[in-house]
Amino acid sequence: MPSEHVAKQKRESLLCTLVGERRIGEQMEWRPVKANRVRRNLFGPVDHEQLQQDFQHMLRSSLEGAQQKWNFDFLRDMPAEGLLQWEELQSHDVPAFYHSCVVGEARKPLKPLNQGIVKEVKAHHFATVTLTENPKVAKKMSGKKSQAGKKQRQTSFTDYYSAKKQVKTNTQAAAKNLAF
Amino acid sequence: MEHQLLCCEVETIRRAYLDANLLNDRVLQTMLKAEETCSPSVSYFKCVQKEILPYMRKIVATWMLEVCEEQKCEEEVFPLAMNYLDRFLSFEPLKKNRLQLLGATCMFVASKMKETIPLTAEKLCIYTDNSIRPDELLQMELFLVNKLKWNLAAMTPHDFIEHFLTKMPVAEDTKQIIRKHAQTFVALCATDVKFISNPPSMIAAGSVVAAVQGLHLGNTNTFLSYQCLTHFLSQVIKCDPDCLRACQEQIESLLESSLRQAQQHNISSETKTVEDEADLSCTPTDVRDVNI
Repeated sequence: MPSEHVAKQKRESLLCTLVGERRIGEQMEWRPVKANRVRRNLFGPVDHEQLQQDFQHMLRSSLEGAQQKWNFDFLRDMPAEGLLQWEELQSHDVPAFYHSCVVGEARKPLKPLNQGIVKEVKAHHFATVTLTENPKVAKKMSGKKSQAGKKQRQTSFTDYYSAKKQVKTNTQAAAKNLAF
Repeated sequence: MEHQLLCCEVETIRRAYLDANLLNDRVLQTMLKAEETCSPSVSYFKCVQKEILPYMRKIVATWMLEVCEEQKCEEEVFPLAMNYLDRFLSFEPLKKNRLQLLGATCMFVASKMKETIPLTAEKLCIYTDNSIRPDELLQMELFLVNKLKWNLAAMTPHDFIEHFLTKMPVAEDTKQIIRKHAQTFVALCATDVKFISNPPSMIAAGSVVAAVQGLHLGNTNTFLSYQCLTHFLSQVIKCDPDCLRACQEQIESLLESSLRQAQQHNISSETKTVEDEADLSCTPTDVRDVNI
């Protein structure tokens, strides 16, 4: 068995060399050579236009899924028909965490699914929301008037608490509305 | 006599220390449960994909590993990216010429999850030889995280290795070398299709056993003897010791074939230029660079 032992030792030393310091400066000499080797296209050119179309399609279908789930039209930023009742709140009624903002460049707005039907400018609203002083969090279904005149102030815990309470009473009211 | 200001800042990346409070049994049990929820389907080449074949996964994985190596990413980035890639391909049929876009996007997201300074979209696009654009990568990112249902904190074998080492009565410097070898095996496994069916805990345990065997540590420490270690680790991950041995043997044979390929590759590149030859003899190549 000496040959086997030699083979094992050989393998071990190979492994040691292979695993050996890989973060040391020596590698710097390799960089230009390796950069050329690592930088490569593996499976031929990408069909950019088809890819864009497919992305649009995928995003649209995922939006549709979300709309079904939440009965909210995220494209038009409007509640849709369904079980959930949506209620509009002013930004100062909710914690800052929920304020809409776009970090960096805004994403390209999605084209609405059926351009013939949905033509309002509003259609792009959802995708291009930017940080505003008083952004609307959601549109309401019930005909309550918004308290737009309220002064902007820092939100506190009790604000959120009262807002939640309001939601509760409103769902009860909504349930009554549904009943008739 | 002159007062001078000395700048002692170093350019190393600041990172958190390992939290010993997270290396306990309760966490390990949760991890063993959690790894099932983030595991890919074993048979996606047969059942889901039409264009993608196993050898293509090897090609894209090798490229991803090279990018991670060159960018000196944290060790976990590559296995995590491969987990994303396999899980995406388990759900969604993909065109062959978009596989590299997917691979780049998986690294992009995995790097954000694990690194202080993540890889940028622009850098990754350059590595594809500009065959994809940064805006495409960002859109793919959205699609990817959607498909993964935002379950991005998947377990990697690295997470388990730390738990095993904590439990092992072995000197710290020995642990360090076992860790290093085992991590190399983990990366090697992530490039190979045969290991998709193994959960991260199994790959971690198999890699630790293979590392200890390769280093001949079993002779010096009775706990590290083959029987004792496989018994111990199979109990930790709650599997059959034979399964663990099979996994470890599979890792060793993968290493053998990778080394053989590496030697062939080295010979072929040695013949190219004399300069290369000199470099090869003195510069350690990484075992992860070998399977081209």
